Amino acid sequence: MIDFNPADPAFVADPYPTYRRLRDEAPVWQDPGSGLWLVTRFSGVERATADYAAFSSSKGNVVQDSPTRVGKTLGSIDPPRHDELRRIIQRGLGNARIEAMLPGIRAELADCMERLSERRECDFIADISQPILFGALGRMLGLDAAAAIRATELTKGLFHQDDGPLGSILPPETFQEIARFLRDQLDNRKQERGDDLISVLLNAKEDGAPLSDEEIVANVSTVLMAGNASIGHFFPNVMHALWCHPDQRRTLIEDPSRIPAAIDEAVRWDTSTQCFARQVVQEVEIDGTRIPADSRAIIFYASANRDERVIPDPDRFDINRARVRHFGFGMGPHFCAGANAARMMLKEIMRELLPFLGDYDLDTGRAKRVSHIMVRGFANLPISW
Amino acid sequence: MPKLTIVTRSGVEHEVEGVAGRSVMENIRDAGIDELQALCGGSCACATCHVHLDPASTGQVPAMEEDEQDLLEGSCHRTETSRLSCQIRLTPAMSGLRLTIAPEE
Repeated sequence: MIDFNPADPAFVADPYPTYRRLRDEAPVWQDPGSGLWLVTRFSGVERATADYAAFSSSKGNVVQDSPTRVGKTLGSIDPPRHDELRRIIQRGLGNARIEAMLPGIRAELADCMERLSERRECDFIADISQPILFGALGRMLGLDAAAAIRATELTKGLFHQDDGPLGSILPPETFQEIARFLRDQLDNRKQERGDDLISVLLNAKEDGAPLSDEEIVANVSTVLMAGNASIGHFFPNVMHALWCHPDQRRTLIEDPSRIPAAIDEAVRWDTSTQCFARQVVQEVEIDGTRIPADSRAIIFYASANRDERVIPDPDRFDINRARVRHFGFGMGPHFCAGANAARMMLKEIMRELLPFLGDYDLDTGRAKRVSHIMVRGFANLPISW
Repeated sequence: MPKLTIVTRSGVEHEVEGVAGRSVMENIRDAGIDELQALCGGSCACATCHVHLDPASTGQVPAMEEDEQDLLEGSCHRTETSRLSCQIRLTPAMSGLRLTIAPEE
């Protein structure tokens, strides 16, 4: 008998024993409470991420997606339209564009460290992670100071509202407000173009790319939310993983060339986006179990990343691990479009921040974890150094 | 079996007996060379299997599709002989192909 209760504080604190039990006993399992099918082994997750004919994204990729976004975002469209749209959007997130943003991020980080120079403790989320990442996001989207604050306000409730661990990620009215906010930004860029992502997409549209204003707004809203919920959880999770393994943290301070490996291992070991949803549109057999058509499936990247059938000693965090395939950024056509952007930004930030914080301590007793099934991260995380 | 010469970032050369029908990315990984991240698993979605072909090898491989071209455009280490190794399916005619793994972004 599987005991799956994502609202249980023990699950929120450490979901990995539950994932292991599911992998061992029921790798494709229907939760009787929600009706959702949970796919937890590496093999099943690999199949589901590749087989978009059976595991469709057309009803959205979060447990309950918003009608304002479904059918317009990369995460809620299947190939071939997905691939066509992805080529356009990926141009705005290319490594060369991120590289050009790095001096601004370094300046943001220097300001942050200056503010903290007289302090010895703070909330890592509110005082370090959010100011740096929202600054970077504002830069990427070409937001002025007031708009950047508004964007922060609009997304701060993401995954934090009280709709339960399987519920909507934001209230419907907030989705609409985000769309209105970005529509205004788009209208501004039509008057005055910049070098930001919205301008890049607008330029592509005017050059003949098949892209509607609604698609620009919806996909930029994904970037806005990913800045909050994906890298926004990923960054503190890296810091948490290194706090749990102080010897490896010291290695990174002595040899910063290992930082990229540590970032990759952290996103495998404690994956910030734990799972994504798919609509099963035709009956499919996976890991020996049949899922009927018209079912909703949740594919657990975080569980596949700990699957001992594929990854040696997967519960061990090891920055010197030989490279392994994992789902820290997904896999297949829906592989995270911002993965390289996130990795490049974090590498830059960690190189400066780790020596500044030295042998930092986290007060996990006072920290609060986000309790939505899709994410692993902290709502607040007291840090001292 | 087609032969491949793979040069790692540190300049070490590996002569490999490749498997036709598998991608160059898979052949590099199968040879135990773990410098390629190939994060998206070969879906032409991430550009982390970037290699530089030896200029003499460029005529052995088919031309790039538009999506590969677009991804490489965003790379900081693009050269005239850049390719994503997941997008080249090895054939017997490619024997002698020589490539270097591109620097990490």
